[in-house]
Amino acid sequence: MMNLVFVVAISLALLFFLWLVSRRGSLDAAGHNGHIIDPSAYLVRLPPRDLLHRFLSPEDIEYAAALNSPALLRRVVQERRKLAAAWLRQTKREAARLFRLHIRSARHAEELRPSAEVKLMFAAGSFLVVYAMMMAAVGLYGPFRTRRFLETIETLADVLSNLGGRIAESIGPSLVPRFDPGAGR
Amino acid sequence: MALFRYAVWFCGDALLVCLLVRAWRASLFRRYPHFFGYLISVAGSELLRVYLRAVASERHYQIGYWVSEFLLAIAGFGVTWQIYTTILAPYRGVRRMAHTVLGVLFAVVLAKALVELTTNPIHNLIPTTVELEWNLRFLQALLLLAIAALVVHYAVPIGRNTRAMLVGYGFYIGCMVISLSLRSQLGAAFDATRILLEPLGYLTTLFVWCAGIWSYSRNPVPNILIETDYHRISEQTSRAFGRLRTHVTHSWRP
Repeated sequence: MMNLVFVVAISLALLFFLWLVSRRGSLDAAGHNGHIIDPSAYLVRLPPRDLLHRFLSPEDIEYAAALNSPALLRRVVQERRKLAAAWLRQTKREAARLFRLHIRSARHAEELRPSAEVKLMFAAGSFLVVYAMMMAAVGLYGPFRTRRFLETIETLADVLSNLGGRIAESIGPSLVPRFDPGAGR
Repeated sequence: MALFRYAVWFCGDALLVCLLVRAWRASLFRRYPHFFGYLISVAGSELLRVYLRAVASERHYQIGYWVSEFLLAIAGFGVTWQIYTTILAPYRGVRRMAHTVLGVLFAVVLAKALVELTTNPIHNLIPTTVELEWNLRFLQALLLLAIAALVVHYAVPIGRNTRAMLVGYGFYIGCMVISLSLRSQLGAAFDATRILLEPLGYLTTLFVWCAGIWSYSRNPVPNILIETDYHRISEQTSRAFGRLRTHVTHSWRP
């Protein structure tokens, strides 16, 4: 039964991809071929960090809280959440642009290497995982709490790093076995 | 039902003849030799079967039928080979690699069938042919899935002829694999559906081929002016994803 499910799944996947192939115009991709890709297209266009800091500034929240209007405060937090999500989405759009650019360039390469493509897929996948986690955190806890959460994690990572460093120092070079080239003779 | 089967059989043969005559007039045989080799094999086997049915005994007809089926299964792989050759024509390195993989896989499947046949050719002819057909069809389904995914993922430019070949043959192989799997699982209860599904799949494929391969359509040639330093592009994109990932998390620091 498992075998049947596997075989039918392969066949259905084949039919799905054939449908995608048949949907594409024969010369749609060829339309892109006439252009040389501008080298500046390979530059990463990151959304400005200052913008994120500006709409996450604590002063705004403090000011809204000082007005003693819960509705206004809620509105401000909601707006900031939307802005943070939009900022994150901009990074995803940039990732999608870079991926499309890579595909457009790589499909002409003679020395296309599957290992490099897998590595790239992994890089894209890990970015998507981080992006999804950030979107979920912003959506569930809001941008301010997400920021505090990230700060806590970083502080914790620093503490652990320092602790690891101190442990390594306390072991000292005397406890590490020395390599003696003549020991085996 | 019998009328329907005759109608499908007649339409199929008419379309096949149309396609071959048209290809001969448009000089398509030398452009797609493996593909038309398969079509000629199909037409030849039809003629052989009709001839054997008319003049030979039932036993000779059975042997002729299964021998032609064995040869058709082998010739069918030529269509997949043709699809790979045509789509990957501008990409020398990938095409060479694909040919090696296809050749090795085909040789393994064929060698297994030939070993089985050498022991007792007449007795093993039917089970070996059925197994060879199934193995080659499943292998082709995987190979066509891979090339279709590559075409979609890398937006590889393909011409009308190649698209028709890929879509038509892929559809036929997909239908056959599903049909054979369900037949082996459900048994004779599936036969009523199967005798409808398989001829209809074949007919649809011939329609797709007639529409797409009626005249020659050149495969779009990729422009080599585009950046082709693959190693550099790949490294650059990988680094860019790393930067984006860091940017998404580290930008939140006050």
